[in-house]
Amino acid sequence: MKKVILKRIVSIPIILFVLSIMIFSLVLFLSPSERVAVFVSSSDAMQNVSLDELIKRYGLDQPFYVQYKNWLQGILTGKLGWSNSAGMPISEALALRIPATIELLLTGQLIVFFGGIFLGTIAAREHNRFSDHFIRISTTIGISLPEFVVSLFLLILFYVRFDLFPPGRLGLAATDVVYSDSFFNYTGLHLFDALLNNRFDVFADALRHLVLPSIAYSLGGLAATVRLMRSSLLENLSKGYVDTARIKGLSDKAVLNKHVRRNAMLPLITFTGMRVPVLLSGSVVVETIFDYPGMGLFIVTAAQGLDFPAIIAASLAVSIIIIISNLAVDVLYTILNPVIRLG
Amino acid sequence: MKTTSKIARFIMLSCFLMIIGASTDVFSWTGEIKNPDVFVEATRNSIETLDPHFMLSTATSCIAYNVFDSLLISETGEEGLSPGLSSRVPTIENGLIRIQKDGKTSITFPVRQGVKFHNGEVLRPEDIKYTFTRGIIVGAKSNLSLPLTGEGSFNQLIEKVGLEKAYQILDAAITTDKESVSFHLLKPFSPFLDIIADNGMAYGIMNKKWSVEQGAWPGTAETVKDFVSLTTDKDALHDKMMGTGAFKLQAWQKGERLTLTRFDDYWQGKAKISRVVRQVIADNAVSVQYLKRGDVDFFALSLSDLQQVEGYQGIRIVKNIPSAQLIKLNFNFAIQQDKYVGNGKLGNSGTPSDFFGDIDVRKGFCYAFDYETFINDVLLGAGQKPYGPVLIGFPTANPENPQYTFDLKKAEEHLKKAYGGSVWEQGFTLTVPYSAGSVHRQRALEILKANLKRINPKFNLELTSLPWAAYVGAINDKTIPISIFGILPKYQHPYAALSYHMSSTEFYAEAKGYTDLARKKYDPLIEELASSFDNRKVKELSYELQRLSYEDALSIFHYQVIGQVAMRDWVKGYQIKPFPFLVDYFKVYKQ
Repeated sequence: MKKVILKRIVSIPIILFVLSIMIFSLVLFLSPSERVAVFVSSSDAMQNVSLDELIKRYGLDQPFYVQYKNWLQGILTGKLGWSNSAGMPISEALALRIPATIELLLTGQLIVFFGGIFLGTIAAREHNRFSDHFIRISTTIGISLPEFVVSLFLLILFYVRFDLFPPGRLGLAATDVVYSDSFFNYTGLHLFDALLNNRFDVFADALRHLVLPSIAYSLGGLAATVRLMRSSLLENLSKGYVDTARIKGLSDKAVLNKHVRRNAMLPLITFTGMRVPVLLSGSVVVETIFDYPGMGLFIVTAAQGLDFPAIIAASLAVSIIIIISNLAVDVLYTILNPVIRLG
Repeated sequence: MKTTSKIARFIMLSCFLMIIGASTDVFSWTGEIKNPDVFVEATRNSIETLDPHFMLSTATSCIAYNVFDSLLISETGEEGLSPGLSSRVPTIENGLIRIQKDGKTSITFPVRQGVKFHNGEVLRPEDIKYTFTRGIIVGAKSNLSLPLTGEGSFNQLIEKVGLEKAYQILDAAITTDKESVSFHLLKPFSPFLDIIADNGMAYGIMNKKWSVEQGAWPGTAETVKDFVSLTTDKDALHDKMMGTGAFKLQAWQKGERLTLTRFDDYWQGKAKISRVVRQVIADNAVSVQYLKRGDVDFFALSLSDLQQVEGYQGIRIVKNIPSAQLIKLNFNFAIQQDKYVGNGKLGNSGTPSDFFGDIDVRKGFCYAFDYETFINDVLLGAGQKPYGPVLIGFPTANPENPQYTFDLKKAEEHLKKAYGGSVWEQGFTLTVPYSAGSVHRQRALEILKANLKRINPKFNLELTSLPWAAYVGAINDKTIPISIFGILPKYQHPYAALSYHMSSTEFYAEAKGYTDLARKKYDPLIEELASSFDNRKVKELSYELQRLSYEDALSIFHYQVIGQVAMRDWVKGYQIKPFPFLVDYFKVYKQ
């Protein structure tokens, strides 16, 4: 098991290196004149800058290998460069945006994973009864609804109508606290940081702002995991080891919780891991609608402005998140699956 | 088993109740003022920098507008200039503008006494000198470099005379005494006062001591070389600002929000609200929801968002605000490369690269554009047909200036004369790109295309889209036959719009290939206009240049932008400015 994990860790820099060359090459299909437009964000700005001077200043007329070498040197010395679309150093932009997306990703994944197990188990236990039918119909609806429709519906219902869960990441008062000197940002994840700073008001506010985007973010995935869990449980319930366990005198509850559910969870873990890239791409819509400043919005703004240092850095950051989440899934799978663990 | 059934039923019932609730007003909000002492403004554009010398977009400049003050204050329309940090407006009559026989001109500003910066320091003439000197040193191009040093930028001056001499020239151009600061211009330059009267947006006065403490240029000759053409990533003032304005910076969460707090020692008195939050919201539809809920007080919305808020209780909309943005279709007199002109010959496979060098072609195109349809059907009324290059609402815009109207007969007459009749005989095929996603650019070209086809089926405009960046790049490469770009003057003196549109040394003449024409015909008039402090003379020359712009059909002036803003009805004190989204926080309050 250790060997497998070690192999995966070693492959990370190689994957990143290949990816960086690929992304860098794509960007260089554009001419220097086209790429310099990142420094000219509006027609207004055209009145104040000389594009030729900017091309020279940023070395955009240099050959590919020179530009790539300069960029790589910068990365290796910890300088990711400057993002014009964000108006700050890329490292700073990523440090601000990645925690927001991870917070959303984690809450979304928790809903997908535990919601899937809970509702899937109910549906399997209540096979062909009212609850099962209700859950199946709801999940069909959940899978069919586009993310932006769900997001807008939730926003209008729970914010505009009831004022329960506002968009954004924090309210005015909580923002003041989080950006004050007395509050220490350990992780950038507001939920964790609020607890570590003993600020339960900030925790409640952050949670309140996280409810709608994480529901919108995870609804499609939740519907899929419920169905997966239900069918996996039903399949396992018909297997011989279940009868053996019952004959040995175990109660239905014990059989389900101790044996069947554990086995049925394996495809769920793989599926949840595979959802990470999907969730990250879905974050663009959710973050836009809920005014949630995460990686999705950052990447879109950078791509629209052809802010190529930011595009490359953000793509690599997303790749790292995906690689790490895949690694986590592999580890979890290995722990839960005795065939791999003991073999 | 019964419990799970109960849970499922509870969920169903809750969903049902929520849908009922959403469709009725049972739970609707009572409308009390949220955050009564905080003005919350939503904007799509994030702030690029806090250093006024690097601010490019007008959206960003509106922060500087409220944090800094300039020497003079520019009032809208005919009201002209009024004192700001300078206690008087310099004129020839009051002796503060002195023109010597050799043309050298000194303009003196008596510094207002007792004005405090946000850190408590008192404003000194030295701060003013530092601000302007730094602005010219760090800027790639500065409006003030030419009149003060004779070169368009400090870089160009260095290239000409070397760094040491260049700094000596600049240093001598601005002098101070105990109570005033004087600018020494190489020749009379009347737009000077209008340029610096930008209400703090780009020429807001900075505190020298504080700026140096933050790591900005120390104000010495020896250190100049490290700050010439500084880039934002190396700018020590990129994320800091401190001025004499009504509000001071509290926090800037880049890309998310900026918070200002009231400066209680402001020289014009205390503002009515204590805090301002400028919140970046990427999607206008979300801003609309915030506004409806009262979490946002104000935002400048696009026309397509209007119907979402119009008629909504508690929301006030101000429409048809003439904005200082004029958009035009610019003819390229000398198209570079053959990307868009095919084989470079008249006919169904191309167009000569100097196609728009023929005045009858340009006039034919101007008459072939349906201005009314564009404004009414494409802009849905959110635009005005300009008189010419000087914007409507500016003191020297001429309402009587001759204008092109949609007239296919006249268009035909001119196009029959073009190229000695060859254009009419052989036709042309020209590819014209527009920036992807810009409906306005696309529709304008579609209207032109359809009308040209009606005149003669051999007239072909092929339209194609380019990403914004590629579009800007193509303009820079001078390959686009017709580009749609604007004039966005930052001040009301006609020099801003006219020189940008017509001077041989400015953007359009260079990018559109009419530098020779400009040098011969427009430059002398522009120079005369720039050197006159006589308002009547300035007006006369402005009118003449507007007429020449018409006569030579340099561009199709199709619309001047009209803006609209939406705000909660509790917002009071909003005043209409040339840029509708420019809010004077000093004057607004909630009641």
